[in-house]
Amino acid sequence: MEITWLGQPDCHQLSLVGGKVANLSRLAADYPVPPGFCLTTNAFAQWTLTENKTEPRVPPSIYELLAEAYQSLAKMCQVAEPKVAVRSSAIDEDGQNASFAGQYETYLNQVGIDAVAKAVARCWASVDSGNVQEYRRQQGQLTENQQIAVLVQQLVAADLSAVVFSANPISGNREEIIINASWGLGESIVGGTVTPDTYVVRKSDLTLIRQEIAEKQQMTIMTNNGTKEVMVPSVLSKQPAITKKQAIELAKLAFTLEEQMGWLVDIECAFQADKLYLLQCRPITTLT
Amino acid sequence: MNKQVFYRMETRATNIQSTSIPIPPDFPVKWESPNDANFFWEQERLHFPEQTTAMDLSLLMQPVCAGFNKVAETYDVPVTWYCRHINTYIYKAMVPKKSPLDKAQWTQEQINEVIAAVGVRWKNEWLPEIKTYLADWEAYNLKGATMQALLEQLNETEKRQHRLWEIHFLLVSPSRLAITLFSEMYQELFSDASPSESYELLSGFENRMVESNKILWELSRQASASPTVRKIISENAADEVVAQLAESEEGKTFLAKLNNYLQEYGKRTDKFRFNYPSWSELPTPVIQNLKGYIMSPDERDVIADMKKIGAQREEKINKARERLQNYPGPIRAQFELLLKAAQIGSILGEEHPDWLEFQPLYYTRQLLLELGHRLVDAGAFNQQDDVFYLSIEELRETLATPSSPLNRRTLVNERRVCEKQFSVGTPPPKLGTLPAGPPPAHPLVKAGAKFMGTPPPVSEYPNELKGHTGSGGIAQGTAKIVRVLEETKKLKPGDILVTETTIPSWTPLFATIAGVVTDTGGTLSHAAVIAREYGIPAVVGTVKATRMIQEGQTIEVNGDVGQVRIISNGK
Repeated sequence: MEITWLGQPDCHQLSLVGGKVANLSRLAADYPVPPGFCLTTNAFAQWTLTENKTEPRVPPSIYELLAEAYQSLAKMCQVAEPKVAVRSSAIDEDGQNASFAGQYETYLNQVGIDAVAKAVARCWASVDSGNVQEYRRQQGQLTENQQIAVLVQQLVAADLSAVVFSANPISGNREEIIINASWGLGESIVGGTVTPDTYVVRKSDLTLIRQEIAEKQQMTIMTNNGTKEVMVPSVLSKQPAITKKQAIELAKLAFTLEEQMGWLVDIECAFQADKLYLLQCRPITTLT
Repeated sequence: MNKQVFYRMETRATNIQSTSIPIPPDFPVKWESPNDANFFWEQERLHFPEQTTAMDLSLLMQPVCAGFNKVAETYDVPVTWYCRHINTYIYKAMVPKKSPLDKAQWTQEQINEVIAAVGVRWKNEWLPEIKTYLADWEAYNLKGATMQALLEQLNETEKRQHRLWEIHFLLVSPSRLAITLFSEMYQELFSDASPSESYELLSGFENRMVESNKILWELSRQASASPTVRKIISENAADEVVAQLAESEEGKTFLAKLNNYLQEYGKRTDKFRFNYPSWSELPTPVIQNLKGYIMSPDERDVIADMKKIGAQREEKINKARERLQNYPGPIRAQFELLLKAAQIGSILGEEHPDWLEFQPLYYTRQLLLELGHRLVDAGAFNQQDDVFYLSIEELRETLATPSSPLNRRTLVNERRVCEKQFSVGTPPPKLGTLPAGPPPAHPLVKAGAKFMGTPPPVSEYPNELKGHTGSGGIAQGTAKIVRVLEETKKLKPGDILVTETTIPSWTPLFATIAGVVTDTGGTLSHAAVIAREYGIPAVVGTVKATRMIQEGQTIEVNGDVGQVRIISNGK
């Protein structure tokens, strides 16, 4: 099948949807993952890069399926044209040995079927990009027969974002949960353009043992058809982005996920109108 | 080290260049306490630009300082205010004090709580309390009271003044902070906006000042509608109009309306000191304003103009909200909180003076006049207003034995001589010792500076003057330098008013002029706020506009950037 939905069993299959999506799909059952659907490797197989590389397009049959799925998503989100993130999911990405994080394309805040289709095609086209080839070579993987899936998921207009590690990624201390939080969408934290607030929570009893409120000068917000980074007004930049209650909620989520997954987790979350969403969950790859 | 070396080092230390400000030879200063010389004193030109009397210090300025200091304690502001009466001028020192080290820094949440509460506290706590004092003063039978009773009322009045000024700062400090924070946030979110734009989102609301000016405007329309009344007001000197009106039927009808107005709004004065009549005692300033209004073209509809300011405000707010729609919820929530608090702060900034400053001054003056009257009868004074030349302690001393008051005639005469002596020349703007460093970085100190004003940048061009942006827009017109109320009669529609400071009762004139330039004040001062309500550009706090600009010159006021340009000389 070409399209499968997060939470459905066939969306748990690594070979169809890749590690990132498979993980999310499994999580979608028990955790507040924003709704979304995935174009599988089967859909990718129907696509060939055309002669005109400047504007890749999905084949008409895929376009139809895409439109139908986008409509269903619209109904789920209760808006006519939901804002979505279109993200690549490599078929061997997010395995235990290497993280392809940041290697493939992601298109944030796409609105309307045309924009979504365009973004999907671009993701597919990025498989051939030089970055990825090089990364794969470094990891000792074959460069032929690359497979890719594409996730189309509701984009949460995050008021606050957080990245949580269920172990201290610097010191290796497995008794500590580390939270980095800031205003707006998580790209500023993940991209490193903001110095986020840091919270350290003791794993054994989920108590907050330390916090460091940073001066958060930038944040990523949605625009009408994308995102942009803007200044945080100085009246708020030195104020905590999240409350202590929210910090504990995040720590709890990371802890629960670690228990369920059986490995240390690196998760990305968002709060929108005080509702917590789980956006990503990967194993921490930098600790032995 | 041996004693000799130590002694030498000590001596060397006292030879260090001190930053003490030289005292002008024609302005001898006798410090009240030796430590006074170490403080940095500035003449309080914003509220007391002219000579004052001892009672002005006792019952006006000292309650101001006490009120501020009390509120400073509450809000951990590390500054103490002191005031002195030096050669008939009032000087103020804002002295930094050490903040206890363990006081935690205010969080934005705490600041938000305080500024969001101001509107409710004014309505439910402070205004009702103020009204009980005013009602009590109004009802008090001055003529029928004994000397002892009057003395008790005097003590009660002093207590009330202290409390009223505490309320004043409880109200204005968070208000000015809210406006400052809002303006900064707006500027940061919309970096393409002009410096005065954020204030447009705060303008066009009803407040007591605007309300009283509107009613006066309506009165002027009624006066204009009657040829008799119009003629009387236009053609007579302001201080003769009332007598002339009383001589005709139409005039009497209008006079009745005028008296109603004065009943409600007349407990106001043009000079913030005791030895000067209120409008209800001497309505000349009101007549002056009426004259100015009558001269205005009939098509000018001040009420409609003000409604427009309100409509523009809403438009700007909608635009801002549109641009912020993709911002995180907490950012938008902070914007809305500051917008609302700043609007309320702006309204109350112009609402409170009548309740907290002018009416109490009026009642205190009436009480003092009655005491003055009795003390003339008792032989303690030569004339009734001698009472203003004593401090409150001296007045109490005078009445220590109410049936036989002390003779104060010589003392008062000395003070009147002193007053005459210092009526020529300009008092030094600064005395004492220059401050060692910048003022404390407490947000309330910063906001206060926006009201009082800070020295503006100096322009490199000889025909240009810089100040603080008060109200946006650009206007050109003939400059009219106005130092005292009488001079306002030279203002013609379209002129630019250039003045040292504007206290609220001059503001009805803003309906007819094209712009305002002041020496004193900051972006949050009355001149700026009222100019915004009338939609005319204002540049405030220039320090020297009244000395640099000449009468009759054509000048351009640029309220967007805070600049005044002299375009050409007058004829």
